[in-house]
Amino acid sequence: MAMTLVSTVTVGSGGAASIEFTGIAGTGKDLLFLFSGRDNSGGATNDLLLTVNGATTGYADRNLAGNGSTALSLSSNSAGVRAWQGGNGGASTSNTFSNYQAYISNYASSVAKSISVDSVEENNSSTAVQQIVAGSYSGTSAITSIKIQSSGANLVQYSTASLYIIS
Amino acid sequence: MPTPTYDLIASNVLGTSAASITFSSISSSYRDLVLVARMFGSTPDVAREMRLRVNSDTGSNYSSVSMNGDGSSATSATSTISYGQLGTADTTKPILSILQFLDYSATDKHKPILLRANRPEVITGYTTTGADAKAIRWANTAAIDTILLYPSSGNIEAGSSFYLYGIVS
Repeated sequence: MAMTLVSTVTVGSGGAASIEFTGIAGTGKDLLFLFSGRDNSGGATNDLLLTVNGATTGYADRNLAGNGSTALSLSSNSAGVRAWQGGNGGASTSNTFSNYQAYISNYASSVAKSISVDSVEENNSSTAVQQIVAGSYSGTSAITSIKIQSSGANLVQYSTASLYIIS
Repeated sequence: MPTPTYDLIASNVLGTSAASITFSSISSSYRDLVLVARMFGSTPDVAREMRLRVNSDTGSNYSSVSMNGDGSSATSATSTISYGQLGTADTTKPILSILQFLDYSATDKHKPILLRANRPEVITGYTTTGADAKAIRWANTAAIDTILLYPSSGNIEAGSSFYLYGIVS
């Protein structure tokens, strides 16, 4: 048996600043983090930030993105692994949520962590962003918590995240 | 209770360096395979390319199309060579390669292999980095029963990890 659901969190009517899983057992090989979300910002998109172990430094990422007319690549050393414009904002098509997956290999090891992200901001518009992200976290402790948030906005009701341990 | 569909076939976390990693005698009973490999190279600040071969095939039977984002440019490339290219690594900047071998045990088709490769850190003097997506075709109808991972030179270093999963049909 290899893929075990740890937990699923769904944001309630009051919204939430983030979704976080804590107390992750170190018994598995890899982590699979799935997220479907929307925030309450005034724009169509926002960056999504993924952090682990409460850390806000030690991250690096490079992406490959397409927005319907242009292919581009960006890099950052943000306070988390960034999915550039990966989240649906309040001005995007109504009832539409982004789709996001992060894969973390060997999460319980004592070496730096590689984080691979695929995400799409769904939008019935001429511009919607799909991307792959190569991310890393330099911390050498086992990952025991993981959090996702939208930059500068709260997640709205029905935003959902699920965490799986692959063992 | 749902039936498990994602089985760990084999794993290897290197305690010491190795010239290569081989998964052999792979059962044909699964539908697809997923290999998650995180590899360190053997020389600081020198990018060693990690490579793939299946069934000991050293012929120019690996065709690929790829797209890459290095943090400033988006590019695409094709190749037909004697191995699959998984990305580069050094001693502190590993490559994370997630490979999907679709319909690997079929004997009536060439084998598609999908790769997501992940290395966000720059290795000094080398521009190849970032997020890669690649589709590889192994031009052979034989069932895949052996997977070999090896570096362009040097060894795969300690701390590298390899997990091979079978997707049950």
